[in-house]
Amino acid sequence: MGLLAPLYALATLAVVGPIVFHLIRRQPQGQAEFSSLMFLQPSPPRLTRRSRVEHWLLLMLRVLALVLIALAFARPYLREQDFAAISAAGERVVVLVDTSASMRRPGVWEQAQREVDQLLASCGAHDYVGLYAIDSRLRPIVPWDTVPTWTPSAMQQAVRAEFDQITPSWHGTHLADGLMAVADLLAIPSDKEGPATTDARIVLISDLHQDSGLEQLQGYPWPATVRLDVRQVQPRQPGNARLTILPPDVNVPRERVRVRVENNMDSVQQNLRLTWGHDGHPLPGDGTVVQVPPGQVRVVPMPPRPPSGDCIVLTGDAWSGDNVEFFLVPQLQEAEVLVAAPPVASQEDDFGYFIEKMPLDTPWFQRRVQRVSLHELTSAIGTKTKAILVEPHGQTMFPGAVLAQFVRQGGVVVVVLAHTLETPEPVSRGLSELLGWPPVAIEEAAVDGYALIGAINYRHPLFQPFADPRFNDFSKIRLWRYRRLHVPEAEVASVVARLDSGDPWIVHQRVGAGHVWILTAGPQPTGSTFALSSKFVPIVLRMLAPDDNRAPHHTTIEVGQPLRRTALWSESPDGEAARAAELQVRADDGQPVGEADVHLEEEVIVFHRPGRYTIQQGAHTSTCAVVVPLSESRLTPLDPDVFEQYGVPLGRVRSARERLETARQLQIGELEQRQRLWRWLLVAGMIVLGGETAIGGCLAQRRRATE
Amino acid sequence: MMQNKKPPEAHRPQVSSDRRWFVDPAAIMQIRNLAMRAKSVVEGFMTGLHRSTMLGFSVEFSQYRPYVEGDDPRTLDWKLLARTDRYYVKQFEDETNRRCYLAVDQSRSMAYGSLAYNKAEYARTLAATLAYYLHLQRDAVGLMTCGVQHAQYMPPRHRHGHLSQLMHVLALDSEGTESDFSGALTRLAGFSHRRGLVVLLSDLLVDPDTLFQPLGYLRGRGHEVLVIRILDPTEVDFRLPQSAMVRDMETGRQIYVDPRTVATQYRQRFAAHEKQLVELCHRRGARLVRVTTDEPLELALLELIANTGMLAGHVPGATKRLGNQRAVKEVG
Repeated sequence: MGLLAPLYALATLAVVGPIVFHLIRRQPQGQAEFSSLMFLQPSPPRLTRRSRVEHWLLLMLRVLALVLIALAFARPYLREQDFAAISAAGERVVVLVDTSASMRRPGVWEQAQREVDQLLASCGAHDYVGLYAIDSRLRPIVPWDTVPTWTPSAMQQAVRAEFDQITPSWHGTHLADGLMAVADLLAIPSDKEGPATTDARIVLISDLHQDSGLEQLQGYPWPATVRLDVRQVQPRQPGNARLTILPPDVNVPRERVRVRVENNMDSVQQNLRLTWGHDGHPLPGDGTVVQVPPGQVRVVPMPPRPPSGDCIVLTGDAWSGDNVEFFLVPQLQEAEVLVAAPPVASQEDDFGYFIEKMPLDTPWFQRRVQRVSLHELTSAIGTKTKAILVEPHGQTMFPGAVLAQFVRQGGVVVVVLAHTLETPEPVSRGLSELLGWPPVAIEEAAVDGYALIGAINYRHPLFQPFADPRFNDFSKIRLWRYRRLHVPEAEVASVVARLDSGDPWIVHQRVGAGHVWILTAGPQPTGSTFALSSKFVPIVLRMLAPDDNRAPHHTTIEVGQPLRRTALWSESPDGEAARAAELQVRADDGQPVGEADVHLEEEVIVFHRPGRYTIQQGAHTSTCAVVVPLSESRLTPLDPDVFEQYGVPLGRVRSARERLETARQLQIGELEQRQRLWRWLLVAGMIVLGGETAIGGCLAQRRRATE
Repeated sequence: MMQNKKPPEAHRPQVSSDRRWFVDPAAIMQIRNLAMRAKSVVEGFMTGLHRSTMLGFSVEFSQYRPYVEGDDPRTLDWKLLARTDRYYVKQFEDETNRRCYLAVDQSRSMAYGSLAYNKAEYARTLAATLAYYLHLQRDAVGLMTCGVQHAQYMPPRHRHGHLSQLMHVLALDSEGTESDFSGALTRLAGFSHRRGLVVLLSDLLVDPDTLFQPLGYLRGRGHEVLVIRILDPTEVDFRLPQSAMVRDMETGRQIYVDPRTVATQYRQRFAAHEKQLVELCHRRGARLVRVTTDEPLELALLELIANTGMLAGHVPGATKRLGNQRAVKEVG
């Protein structure tokens, strides 16, 4: 005999009520008035032997009715089996631990270790546990693939052992990537797990800050059988501040360094100090004190850089892991743009005039425009020449072979067909040499008044900035005359923009490491209104530096961010031998950096630790500063309920004991539901109450008759 | 001296066991008009006096004495002078300046009654009876109601219409309040500048110590004080039929009372309280008479006559005018 809801059995204590009421003399029904109570004392109701004896039967009936009803609510059942033999089904649990840089904060990783220990302690003997680490990439520590071969206890021991070997990295957080990958793994049950283990849980151990990278979960269909248990760990002291060295401004002297300081919303400190440092350590001095309230941003100019200062150190916030920013003196690069155009009488017909008026300089590049003739072009190409604008005309020879060599080494050639070609064959031949195409036909197009831009490939990098409807109006550009270029069928994809007649307007072809652009109409007012359009400057600038017009070769990148080798040096290594030389990365102390800190690929370099590195290949040397990702500095914690917004069901991993108790309660509930003894008890209680009512009524009637 | 005696208990009117001589108070209370009630009682009482010898006294007295120089010639008995040619002066008790103050308690506790009428009704009738009788005796009668929200005070007068006005005030049906009998007596002592007889009609269900000072004020004014304590028979021996929640009519407080349990204790406390009242009145020179509402009203009237005569003998010059001697016998 057992009770499904034993707490209701406490209601049997209510039998004390009728017993006490029976022992108390009945209160008088009538009231009387008296002149004064000054001679009277209250005489309270007393227990009388007479009452107990007189209503003994009623008392027993009332007590019995209460006991029966209370037992009915307690849901009794008769044991038919041994509930101790019940065992809870195993669960599939994958621990996804955040190893990003923010987990290095004081107290966070220790708390994560405690969470893992608690989780493993609460696991049962049939629970499979896997372990993955996630920062900017997912790393399997105890992979889920081992489920078919390992036993649950072996996996738990492996998780316990392997977790002690993990340490947080310096990478950013891409939690969504890890969650989606692990959820996909768990959504496919393996054969060994059996039908009893259909549900799975992901235990996410993370500090869960605002830049944890959860946005990708928005469009992910989360598996219904996988639930997420978020165990958020907190640092000992909340808040963080981050400094960023701003790029030089044209309005500010280059020697003045400006620093942007951002304080997190949950920060406690607001008095921060900025100091010049060397090798990551602050130099002696008071530095600059800046007050940044929580959630605010301040831009402050730094004092003049001391000779030994190579970094700026921020002090005063809760975490010092992201407080060093290396300062690299930006080296101004000089580039040369050659304009090979025929002499013209008026500026309206001079394409070079418009190029000279363009703002070609940037904080890292200084471009100089040099006019040459087509005959002098071969000799004018130097090491600093980055782009050549060619305007063939008349019967001039077109140096296709020279330009092709220049382009293959990374140069940019812009061919502008601005003038009517009396004999187009030399140009056609030269273009064939330059582009590697078969000879293309060039002829003067017949324009009825003017031609308009008819089609633009906005996916092309040249026109991507104009894809927005606010900027994609090219209808004001009118072409008075242009040359019809017959692009081979195989190279149709190289046409970036066409005119309303269907003829090409801009053609782009990548040759070797460089780029070739062909404009079939002159931008100058004698050919079109393109040079007078607002689109002219951004389009020509992107033509001249199509790869990366902004990235300097001395750069600051984040941990985990790929650095392309082509952006390392201002001048390309001369010759194949130089390019094939081994690339070496050294730390600030001159020691080579191991694979744990840097990952070298064919095209890119990925750093795993912040610091300043020297990259050397042959005779070329470049310096690179690697900083903690900015996303790891905005550490205002998120509410775990944010996962509900992304459609991720949350659920706590219950301990084996809880699951066992739940299984036992289910068994008992099923047994009680089958027996339903409460109905009989309730009926018996009602019958007893009916009898009590009848006997009580008779007694009351008899008493009234007696009175 | 009377003050040296220690009365063992409150005075009870000494009446014959044969009550057929008196009118049943329940019958008197059937009369709605208060003046008619008083008249019925007094006239019955006066008739009974002529028939009864047991009382043994008369209020009529006269004498002759020789005329001395200086007497008012109007007092000469002209008929005797004509018949005998001698100068005699005829003296009789026909004028008085006695002032009587009736203080009637109408507090809530007086509304209690186990009979067909309550104590307040009884006290009102008794006061009316006394007033009527005193009026017949040519005494000035005043009235003060106590224990009501708007207390009434009528100074003692003997003029035409005063008695009917007094009856009207007595007949007013006023709602009683909590008893402040001692305060009312203190105010009465302040109003009554000329000495006289003060008759207090109350159940005296108050702390006896609160009456000590007001009675002293009244006695200090030179008043004779007769306290008629009116009680319901149930209040004397506490005859509650069954257990009940008993509500105090004064304060509204309720307690559960089992009469079998508390009756003995009640009687003991009641006796002790009455003893305190008797001792208090004795010390203050007042006389306490206990009347239950089932007793004839005439007895109270008789008590008044007996006690006032008795008291007058101990307070020289309180009520009598020179040359007009009134014959009063002490009773008890």
